[in-house]
Amino acid sequence: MGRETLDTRAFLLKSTPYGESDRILSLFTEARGKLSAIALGARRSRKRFGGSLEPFALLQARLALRPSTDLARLELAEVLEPNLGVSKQLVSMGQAGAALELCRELLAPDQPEPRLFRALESYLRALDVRGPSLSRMVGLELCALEVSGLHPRLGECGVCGKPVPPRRAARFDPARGGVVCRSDGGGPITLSGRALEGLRALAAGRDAELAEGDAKNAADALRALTEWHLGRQLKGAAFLRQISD
Amino acid sequence: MRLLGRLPGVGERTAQRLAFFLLRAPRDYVTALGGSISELQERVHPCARCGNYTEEEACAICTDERRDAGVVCVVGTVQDLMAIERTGRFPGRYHVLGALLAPLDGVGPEDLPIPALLERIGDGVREVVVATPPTVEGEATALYLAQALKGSNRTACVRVTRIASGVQYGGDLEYADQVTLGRALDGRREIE
Ligand SMILES: [Zn+2]
Ligand SMILES: [Zn+2]
Repeated sequence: MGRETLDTRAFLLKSTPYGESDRILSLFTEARGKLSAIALGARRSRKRFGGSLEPFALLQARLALRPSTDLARLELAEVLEPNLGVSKQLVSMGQAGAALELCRELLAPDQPEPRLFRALESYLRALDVRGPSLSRMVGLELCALEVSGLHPRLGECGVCGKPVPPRRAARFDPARGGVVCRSDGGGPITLSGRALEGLRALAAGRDAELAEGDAKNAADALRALTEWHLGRQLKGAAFLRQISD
Repeated sequence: MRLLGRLPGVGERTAQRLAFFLLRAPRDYVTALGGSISELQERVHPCARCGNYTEEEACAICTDERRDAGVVCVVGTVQDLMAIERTGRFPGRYHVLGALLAPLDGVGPEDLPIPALLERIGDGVREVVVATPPTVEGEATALYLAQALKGSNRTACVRVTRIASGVQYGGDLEYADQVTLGRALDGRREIE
């Protein structure tokens, strides 16, 4: 019965009621990446997990990994950083939800991604303390796309490789993974010069604060790219659109 | 036995006990029970006004003249409505949403019966008490409702309050004890 215990920091990506009293969780753990776990008794007994199974909090989790199954068992979960400020504004909740969805959809199971974990940690902390920012959301999305090998091509045409002139608007084609020059057919989305520059700065790991309109433009392009790869629509994006209507 | 075992809270052993009990029970009782079960979904339906379960067009709470129609309590589920009724501390009427906003699952305002609520609040309602659970989904729903009520001319003057969190964060209203839930109701605050 080779049972292994794993102590790790983690974020909750999804929680689904299971049967009368349990929950099935999808966790982004620092040590092992995305893992599924069952939290026995989580629906009835609040003594066991308290408020720790609410999204957005940074947790310290103890998991029992079982060799016979991919479903770990959550033994303990303690809140390290509650990030309660995220739930004070609808837009913050929407942006946090979109980020967690992206991690859930793009991460491969049982594959550690410490860089994305740290990026998510500081992203949620910033949402908690400073409130929503589309620009920071774009930064996190780029990081998630990059660790899953889906980073968009932003410096040169995805077809002919010709460099994109700086500070100029460019066409973006999700199906061809990035910017495409006019002579190769362009793409359905126009990225403004400033949005493109901001994206390139963020992709290069530099701090960049995109203005609201440019951040929206960049976020739309990244969403289209992600949805094209996943073959379906992202729910978080739909939620954000509905609450801002 | 297989069918009985699908009922919530009924395991294999309980299903077996129920089956043996029914085998030995008087014929009239079994017939009446079977009849009630098969009529349940035909006769009982959501109240046209508030969403509570009823056999009539409007439920017993909506038609009770002694209840204060000026205060409407918004809840996620009928189970939560019943939990609040058990406290005996709420004199007004209800509105059952049937679901909560879920930022992680993409359940947005368009998926909830919010237009029906706004429609109802317009005439003669002084206060809306949002009694969604103290979870991320419950908070999101409360914030959205406050925003929607204040954003509409017809409902801008209505006081929107949220039950105090004597209920533990992450908890279910349905499982909260009556005293805690009653105090949470008494200590409700206005949503900014
Ligand atoms: Zn080209
Ligand atoms: Zn009713």
